[in-house]
Amino acid sequence: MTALNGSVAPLSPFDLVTATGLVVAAGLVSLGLRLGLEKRLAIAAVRTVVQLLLVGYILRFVFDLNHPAPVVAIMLVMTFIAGHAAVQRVTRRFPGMLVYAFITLVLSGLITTFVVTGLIIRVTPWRPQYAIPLLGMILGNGLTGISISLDLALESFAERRNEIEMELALGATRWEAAQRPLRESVRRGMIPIINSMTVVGIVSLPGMMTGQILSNTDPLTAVKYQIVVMFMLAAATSLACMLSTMIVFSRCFNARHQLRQGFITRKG
Amino acid sequence: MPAPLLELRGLAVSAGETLLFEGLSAVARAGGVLAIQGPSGCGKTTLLRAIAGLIDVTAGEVLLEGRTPGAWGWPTYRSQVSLMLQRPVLYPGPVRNALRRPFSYRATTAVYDEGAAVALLDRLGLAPEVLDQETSTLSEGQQQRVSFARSLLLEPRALLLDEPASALDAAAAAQLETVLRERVEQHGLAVVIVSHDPAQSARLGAEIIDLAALAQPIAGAQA
Repeated sequence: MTALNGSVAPLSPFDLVTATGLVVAAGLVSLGLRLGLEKRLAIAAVRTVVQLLLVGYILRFVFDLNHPAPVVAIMLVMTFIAGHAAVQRVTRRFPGMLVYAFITLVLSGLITTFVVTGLIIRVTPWRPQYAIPLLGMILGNGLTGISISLDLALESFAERRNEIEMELALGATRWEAAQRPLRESVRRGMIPIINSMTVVGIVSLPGMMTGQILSNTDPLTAVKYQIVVMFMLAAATSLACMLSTMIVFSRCFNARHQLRQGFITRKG
Repeated sequence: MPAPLLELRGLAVSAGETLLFEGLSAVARAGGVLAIQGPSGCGKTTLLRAIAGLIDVTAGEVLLEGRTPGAWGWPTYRSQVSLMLQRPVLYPGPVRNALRRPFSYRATTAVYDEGAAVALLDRLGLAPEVLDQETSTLSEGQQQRVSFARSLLLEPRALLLDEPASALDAAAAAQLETVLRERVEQHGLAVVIVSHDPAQSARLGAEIIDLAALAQPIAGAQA
């Protein structure tokens, strides 16, 4: 097993068996208190092992290939899954929403990732050791951001139709009429990342930083990386929220400055 | 006789897939009033929304001084042919802000004049203190009058009114009608009004348009 930096105390299969004991302890709690969670816990534990091993083997395989094509392919698959997850969390729909969520995440995620790898860390931008975990973090935050923004923007246009049409009826452009709800959507989508920037290091040690420290990286190096990561997440999330909100805006109004009828539907 | 200000040419209007009526042609001149009548559900409100361009017409066209809304630019057209919704919508915050807001639109040419606002509200039976009141605390009748005042302050050339006095008592409705008549007779405002009250239409000297006569059988059957 190779470490990126410094040396890691390697884990043997036996160590993992010992760790399994910890899950079994959780299972005993469930049995003792008759929570009825043993089966779900067992399935969850198996999924954890299988999913992570699968990812581990895929990543090792891709790292060894040393070619940008599979890296970009994996990144696109990750982005698509994130887009799908984001859309799943939104209670309203409009035609093409999944495609737009995907495009939003591609633009905000891939661009920011390559800026960080290429311009800040200064490695080959698609070097998988950097690009894949960075994109993963961006997508995790970006999908939360766009699902909040999309949800709120669509809700405003569906529920506050009277307000918007009143403004249009008095001579507002579509932009003037939609500005307030749009601003609020972007704002709300950005709040989680700003909150986590506010408490980072105090309430929680970020997973990436913890991981680096566990692999014997100097804490200050880990901190510098974490600062870059937080700023990257802020940029990517705000970009994603803004883009997704603008897409909703441009799709829900037409060139005649009308709020389109029956364009937004409920999920399911 | 003044030249046509607002012209409806062979309008057909639908609600979703359902055709409500077709073949509506009418002209509103400066200082002229068109009163839309017909049973409920025949599409009176929808017609006003179509004239304002909030929805598309199914056939025909609406012209302001011979030009289509597209040629004017939709926001400019709507600032000249202003629709007042039956259920008034006012932005949260003080009434003053709700009145001022549309004056910030690019298409608006009128300038907000607080003195004129106070004078107009007074004629509609509202004291100047109402300007500092939260719009959410107004009664529906007060909201309707504030909304009517806002429409007039913007100085449109044509006003589309949907039951503008539906939430008003007789005295307040009479005040509103007096102000409206004055704007029509002295300032040449053109009006298209949906009203349940034939007497009101008569007092405004309105030309009556009976939508029921143009209605599609299915829409007529609902009434």
